[in-house]
Amino acid sequence: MTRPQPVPEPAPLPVGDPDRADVRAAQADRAAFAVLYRRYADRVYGYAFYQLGDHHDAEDATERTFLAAMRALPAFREQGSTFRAWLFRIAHNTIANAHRTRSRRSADPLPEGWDRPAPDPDPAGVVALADELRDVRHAIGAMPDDRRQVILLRFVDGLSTAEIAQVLDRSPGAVRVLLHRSLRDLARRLAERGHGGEPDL
Amino acid sequence: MTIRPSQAVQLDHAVEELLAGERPVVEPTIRPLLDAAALVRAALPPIPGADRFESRMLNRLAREPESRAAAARRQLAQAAAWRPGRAMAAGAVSSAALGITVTVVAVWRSRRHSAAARMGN
Repeated sequence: MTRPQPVPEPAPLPVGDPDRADVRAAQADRAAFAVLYRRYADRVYGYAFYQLGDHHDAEDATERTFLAAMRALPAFREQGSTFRAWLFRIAHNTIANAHRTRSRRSADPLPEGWDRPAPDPDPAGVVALADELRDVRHAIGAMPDDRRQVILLRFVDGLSTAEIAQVLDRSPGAVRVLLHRSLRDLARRLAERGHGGEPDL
Repeated sequence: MTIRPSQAVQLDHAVEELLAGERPVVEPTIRPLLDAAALVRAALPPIPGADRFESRMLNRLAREPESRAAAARRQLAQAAAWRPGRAMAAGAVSSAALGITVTVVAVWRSRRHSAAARMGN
């Protein structure tokens, strides 16, 4: 017999969706969807790339996400969800399908992004920082899926706690706790590799 | 008595400040977590890669056939959309039509009364 699952608290209604006018325009005229595509293409692409680890697969997931969003946009209503939370939920499901297809191992390290110029002129410092950042990506890649998801959505895509709650279908309180556990997990993994202090929680 | 927010709420606020480019002041127990958060930002920068396939993607979006249901919903939404100019024009035409109708009826009734009066005399 399965135990009844606790009912999650509903996500609070957003005060205002910054994309509202553009969504309305795209619902009336599909050509206007290009505005929304240009605004979010890089972020959806980055979200896909950091999870799939391959530019070709990330392009494919981005393409599928926007095609699905455009098809479903006439039915989109702002009922407790912003457009970008709705879009990232589509991306989340698309990427989950891609994972299932590929049966990717979850412990793969996250891929490197594009190389930014290092601010440290000290070569030893540059090498140490590069090592540390590589260990961060490795540690995030080794995390359970829900912890990795919340970190990517919060730090790569800049979604709010309420928006992440909508994407992951959890309550905002559960997302805060998940983010706390994820960062504590990450801090511990980094401390094991000799970076930073051990969290005393 | 003030109630201290939970560690998760404190951390959430601190992360919000961090993402806004500020340097949040937090309790020592949260500091290692916030340091880890700062490292995440550095390790996972935004990836500006979508422009490489933008033209292909926009072409595909433009060619995507619209489903009949979506088209019907869109047309309904367009029909129901509030257009002040069109509403004002419709209002003006309606008012003019009503005014003309009232005038015609009044003239007709007055002629009818006059004719009845003449017949009565």
